[in-house]
Amino acid sequence: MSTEEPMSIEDRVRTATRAGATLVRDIGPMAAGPEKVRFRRRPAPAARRWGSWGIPLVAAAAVALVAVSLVAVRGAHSGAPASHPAVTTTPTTVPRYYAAIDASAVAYSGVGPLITGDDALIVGDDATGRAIATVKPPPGLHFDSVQGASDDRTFVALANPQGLSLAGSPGPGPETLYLLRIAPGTSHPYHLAKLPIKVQGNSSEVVAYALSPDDRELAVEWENIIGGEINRLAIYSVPSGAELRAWTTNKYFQGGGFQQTLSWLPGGRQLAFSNIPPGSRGGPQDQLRTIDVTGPGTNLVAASHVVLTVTNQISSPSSCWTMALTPDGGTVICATQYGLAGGAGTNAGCANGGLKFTAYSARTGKPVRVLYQYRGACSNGLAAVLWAGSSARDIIGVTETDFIGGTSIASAGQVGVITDGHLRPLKLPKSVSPEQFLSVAF
Amino acid sequence: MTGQPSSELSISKGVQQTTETLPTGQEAWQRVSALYQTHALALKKLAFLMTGDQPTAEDVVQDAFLGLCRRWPSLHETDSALGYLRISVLNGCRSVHRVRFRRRGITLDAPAESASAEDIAILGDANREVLVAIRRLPARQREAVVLRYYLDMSEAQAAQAMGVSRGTVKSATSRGIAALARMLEETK
Repeated sequence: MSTEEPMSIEDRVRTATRAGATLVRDIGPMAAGPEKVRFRRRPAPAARRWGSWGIPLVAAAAVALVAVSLVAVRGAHSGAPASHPAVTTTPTTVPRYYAAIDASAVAYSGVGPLITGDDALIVGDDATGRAIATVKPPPGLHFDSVQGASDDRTFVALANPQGLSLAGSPGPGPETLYLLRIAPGTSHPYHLAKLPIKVQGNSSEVVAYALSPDDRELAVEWENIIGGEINRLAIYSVPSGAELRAWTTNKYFQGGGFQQTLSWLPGGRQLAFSNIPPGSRGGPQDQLRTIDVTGPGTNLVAASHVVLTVTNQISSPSSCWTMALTPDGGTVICATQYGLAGGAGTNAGCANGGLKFTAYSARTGKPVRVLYQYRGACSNGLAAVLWAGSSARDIIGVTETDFIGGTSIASAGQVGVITDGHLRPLKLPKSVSPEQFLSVAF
Repeated sequence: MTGQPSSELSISKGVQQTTETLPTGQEAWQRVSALYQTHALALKKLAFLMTGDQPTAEDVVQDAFLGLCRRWPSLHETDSALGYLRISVLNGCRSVHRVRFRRRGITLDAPAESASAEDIAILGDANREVLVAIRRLPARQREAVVLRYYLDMSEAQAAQAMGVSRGTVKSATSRGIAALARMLEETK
């Protein structure tokens, strides 16, 4: 009788891909000789193509742009929005505006090698489907993720350098945070300003960030590149970039896996974050914690408070994937994953409650009601909360599903407003592919 | 260890230049040739894992380097060139899968169908089953799984290579692993 542990799927993939790669032992000489290559030239500078009459116009526009930028940057540096007052109340209405990473550059519609890299942010109106602006990343960078603020006009985006090296470098390149303010219906529909916050970590990467309700502070959460444990949560001053507070740990994992797992409560004193404790008894647990940013201590676990712990059954194919606290602090929403961990999923199981959003009372820890249940057939899938209103009366949720039939797998996704058990799809551009839904912020 | 990707994909100091503006013409071709000598085999291995066919993998890599030659004057840094190459290879592999799907009306080729009997013996049934299953994954899930577990990339690195967000890499990897578990369970 063998006592060996069965290999995990991940280890089987590692072993098989390395074995498969050994079958490739050589490659022929480079096919392209210098005589065959016609180099593409850089386009001429825009001013030349405009002609001499365009130069004064460009100069005038530049002066105007600089003036507008100075006003906006000054606003950013002062920590207050240029044209929007700080919001400290609980959001009650479903956000109208979104920012999403444009996935069209890597959409599977073109033929032949393409260079990607723009990864622009599309800003739009989710009620009408109308695009408001396309925000290009600064030169040499691409947008990696985006997070919305509570005023429905402000976003924070994380940008990384382009040109990743072929090797796994010791860590990701320097990450830069930008503040994006939108002004729909105006001649300058957006303004992008670099935040003076230095977030590069030697062996860790930013996994979540959230702007405080008054826009003056930014919470940033890191995890280890290797291992994946949360190792740091810090708060920075938006105007100065100075680190105001920091907590550390090295034992807990992030729950879910994207920026919406970190959020501020109204008033700006409490932060909520989800985590998975190590070696939890009775099966993997998901926790929702809050931390008082004015309280003592620098140990993230000791200084924070458990709001809710959900214990997932190891043998169950359905479990909490993300947990989110509503802005009023009264409700925790558990959005499940199905068939991704634990027991194998079935199409019937997925369609019968495997993938759902459940509201728990933060006071009692008991489930209160199912907010939405996915009814389609799927072999596996996941759900996540992108925005939550007070008491979870309205939330914006996303589901991503796969259906495995024979040798093919069909993927699908939807994002919409969940109210009274129904999901009303939001109007998002086609360039935001179903598998990019976690890159949408409201 | 010929199967270990990290050493083969490391950047040689001779071609790594992060600040120098690159030249054009003959000298540029020589620089691309140097990159080819250093990285082409590793890229072919990556393409092979994606496509399951060595001639196709080599075509994809050759196309990527040809594209790099043409775009060389617009690339400012060698690091950009390396990033471009990998993205080109990933895009080229996606194109291969699209064309096959359209022409043959099936999802994917049977993996390793072009492998010799010797290769199949070297692989072993267990590894071959996994490679078969990997090639049945949707493109983005396949890319995420291979980049994360073959190249041992972090989520951020895989996100950059795929041109998607970190959240997308996380969900695509999770779903890919789940689909693999299911497919491998069915083949027992």
